[in-house]
Amino acid sequence: MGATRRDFIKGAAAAAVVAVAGRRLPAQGVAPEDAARWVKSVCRFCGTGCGVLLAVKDGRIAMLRGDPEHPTTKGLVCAKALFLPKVVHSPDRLTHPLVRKNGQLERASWEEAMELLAGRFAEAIERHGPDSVAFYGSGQALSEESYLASRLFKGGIGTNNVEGNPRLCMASAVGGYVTTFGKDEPMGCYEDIDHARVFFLVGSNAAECHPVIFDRIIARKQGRRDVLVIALDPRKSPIQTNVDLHLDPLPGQDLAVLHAMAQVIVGEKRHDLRFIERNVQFKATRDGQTVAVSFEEYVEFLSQYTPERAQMTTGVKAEKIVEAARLFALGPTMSLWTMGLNQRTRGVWANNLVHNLHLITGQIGKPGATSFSLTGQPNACGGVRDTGALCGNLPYGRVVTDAAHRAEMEKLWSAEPGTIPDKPGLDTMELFKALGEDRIRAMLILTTNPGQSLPNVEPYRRAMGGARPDKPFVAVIDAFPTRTTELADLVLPAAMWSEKSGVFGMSERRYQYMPQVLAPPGEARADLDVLLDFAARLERRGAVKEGFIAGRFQNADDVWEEMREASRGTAYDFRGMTRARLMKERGIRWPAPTEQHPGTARRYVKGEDPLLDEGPYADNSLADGEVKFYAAPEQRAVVWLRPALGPAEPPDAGYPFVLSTGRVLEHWHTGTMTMRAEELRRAYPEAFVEVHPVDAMKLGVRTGDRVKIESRRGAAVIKAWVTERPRPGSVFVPFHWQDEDSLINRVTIDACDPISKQPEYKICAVRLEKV
Amino acid sequence: MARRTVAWAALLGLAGAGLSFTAVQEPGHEAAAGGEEFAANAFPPTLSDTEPHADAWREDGCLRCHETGVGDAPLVVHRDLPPLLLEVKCRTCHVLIPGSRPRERAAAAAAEPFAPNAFPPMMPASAVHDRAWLRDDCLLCHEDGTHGAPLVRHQDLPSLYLEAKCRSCHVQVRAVAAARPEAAE
Repeated sequence: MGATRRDFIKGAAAAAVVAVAGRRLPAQGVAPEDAARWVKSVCRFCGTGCGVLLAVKDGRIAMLRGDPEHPTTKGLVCAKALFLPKVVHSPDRLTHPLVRKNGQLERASWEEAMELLAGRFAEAIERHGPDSVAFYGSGQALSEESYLASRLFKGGIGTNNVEGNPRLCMASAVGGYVTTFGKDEPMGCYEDIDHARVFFLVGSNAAECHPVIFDRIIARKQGRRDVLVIALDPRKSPIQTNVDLHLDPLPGQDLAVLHAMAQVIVGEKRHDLRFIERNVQFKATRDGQTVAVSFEEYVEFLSQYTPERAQMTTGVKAEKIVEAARLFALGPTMSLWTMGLNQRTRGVWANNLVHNLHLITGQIGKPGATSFSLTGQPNACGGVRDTGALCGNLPYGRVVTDAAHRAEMEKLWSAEPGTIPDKPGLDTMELFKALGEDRIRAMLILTTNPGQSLPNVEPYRRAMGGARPDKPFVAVIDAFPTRTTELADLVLPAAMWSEKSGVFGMSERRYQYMPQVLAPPGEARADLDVLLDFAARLERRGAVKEGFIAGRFQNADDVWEEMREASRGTAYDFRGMTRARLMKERGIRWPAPTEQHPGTARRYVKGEDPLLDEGPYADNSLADGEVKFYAAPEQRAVVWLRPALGPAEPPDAGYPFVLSTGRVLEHWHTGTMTMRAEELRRAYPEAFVEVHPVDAMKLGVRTGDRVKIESRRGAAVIKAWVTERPRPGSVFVPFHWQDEDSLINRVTIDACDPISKQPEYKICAVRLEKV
Repeated sequence: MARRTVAWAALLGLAGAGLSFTAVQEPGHEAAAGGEEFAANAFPPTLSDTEPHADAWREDGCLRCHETGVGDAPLVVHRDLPPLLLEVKCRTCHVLIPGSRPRERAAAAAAEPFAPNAFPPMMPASAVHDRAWLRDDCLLCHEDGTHGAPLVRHQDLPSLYLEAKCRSCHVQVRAVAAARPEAAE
């Protein structure tokens, strides 16, 4: 039975040869003659964007395998992807519309459901104005769906109340990129992993949250003593298996560590002065105003953050900070971060400070040297951020506060001039507060579960579902029953992954096509179909200009054509990504302005970025390999002098512990999908709270004991796991479970970053009690 | 190892004292029909002729699968047995039938709409597998069957898999059967 390691290696080598030779790789367990067809597609979980192959037979997905020909994930997938067929074919799917009648959701026809939806929205718009309605979307919706929803609400209805759950996970990364580089999205690519010698993982449990990325880091590190991993994270997450230097600050104190690393770099003259002089400017905020400062002023500012001082405030030993700084400057250095940096009240500033390190060392725009935000959802980048489906944004880097940008989109959309409001709409948390105050009269929620995922969730659950006279109308489009559908007035069954076609855009700016290979179950419909139907009914009621959407678009392909045109002249230009090309190729990275362009590995780099060759950003005085941050003011990236402030709710005598939330490998977000695969469910059947042994001893808690975790907002009761993963004084709880006791977002805080409006899921004060 | 096997009860004379015990049986292993008048579950279930079962004679590792259902293993239900039975080898009472197939698994596979081997095998909930998350040294046992570990079969996978974490794909089971998520309506 089985094979030896030698056989294993030989087999793998043979597989690689087959892959290179372009032959279809037979997957274990499905003989080629048994499978009706193999189809290339893309995973729908995190933003890694793994290429997958689907064995489709008899109208079902019989098997999923990693796509060995995929240029960046190279055949790797994680357990969540492998079990996707079981998720899609789960018997728990929603299969027909449900309308709430007398307090109960009852089966309804699509006609009744859509008339109700359009009627309630039209009524709210007529009686209370366009800003009385809202759309709350998702980084899991397809790009065409998010674009169409934004078009309908901003250009058709005339409200900027368009938000999405990327506000909860990526907004600080967006704020960081925009304030530092002028435009959103990373400039590097996954290939940089193969060139980096120093990986700087900040607030990222990539081993569980981005397993394939971490597997590639392991592969890069394997057998090489000169490839090192530095972690900056209060928690010893499973990345520790491959970490060489761990900086573990007190929760919320990492800004001082980042400044201290910069202080070491400039203090020891390890900065790249030539790069700074050509590409960087320095700015600070004084008396509420942004002012330009000099490099010398930056050095003076950093003098208050010596490693020794940082040790006193952060708990990280000074010598570790010095070593990290020296390694960082040595490079090539690739920084990767996720929610530990973003889900903070100082998330944008923390992002700025990581960028600062790359800019002062010149560790950017070269193979292996980049500042790379990892994304938690499959289409937060391409779908919500890029299409402008947030309250202050318009497609492809435009913003609602810019008159020229509004005019461009109104012209493209054939909207009346002045339709798009000139002020941002309500951000996510304000939107749900407004719903609770009945200022939002109708809300459409698509492919997301705010009834479980919002921080301090209980008041927002009441906002969505609390019985009250003249309660606002809440409609939800989803594939499964969730903690949000249980609150809704109308539930529409959605087609999900592989049951519809469209584009996902993942972290490295790669847009990938997901084909439809299955029919949706029951009466479920693609979200885009529902949006087109909704728009047509609003047009018939006069709430939207006639012909604004109806008749223009029949399907996602039509919407994609307009999206390509919307990218013209922007820093995102992807006009070269025709539908036919996307269907054939394994994704293309923008910019890709022509059909002949292969896509761009590294933005802002002459010789790689086509926008430096032609168009408004062109600069032919540059030599190949030189960097130009063309989207930034004065075409120079900004090093920000940000004060190292802490969290909104530090621990105190009454609430002495810090709660942080996150994920495990086998589950994804609120578990509405992964809990439907029995194997994944059995991997983590119930919630747990990580408690450090020192704290456990004081509390008299042992593994398996039930512990009440209580904040100023609410409580959860969860089994303890005594482990050295968290720092003493900190506890960690994944947020996947939806049962009443485990709903950890009753405990978390809804304080937000003032720039990004992203909530601080990672830090709030709690007390623990054994129950 | 935790609780242990069945028919020692008879050897110890406890069955005659009215002590009850049950075990989950595989279909086709019921007490002989046609005139034999034995009580249901009078005999401990027999073992199919598989490599893990052969090794279990030596390794006492049965509960890794039979407590949690890894690999569709039938679940052990050993009620009302004296503590001494928790310490004995499973093979002491459970007889391995040479050449026999795990019928329940075969029946389940026939009804399974997914391709054979569509999903990577789950890892048992044991301490050594807990550590595998940290050490990535699974092949130390699984390449040559040390401690009775099933051998890896990773034919036709990309070479990058050789350097990836096993836990990226292999789920560690921690529960026999978790409740399905509550349907909202």
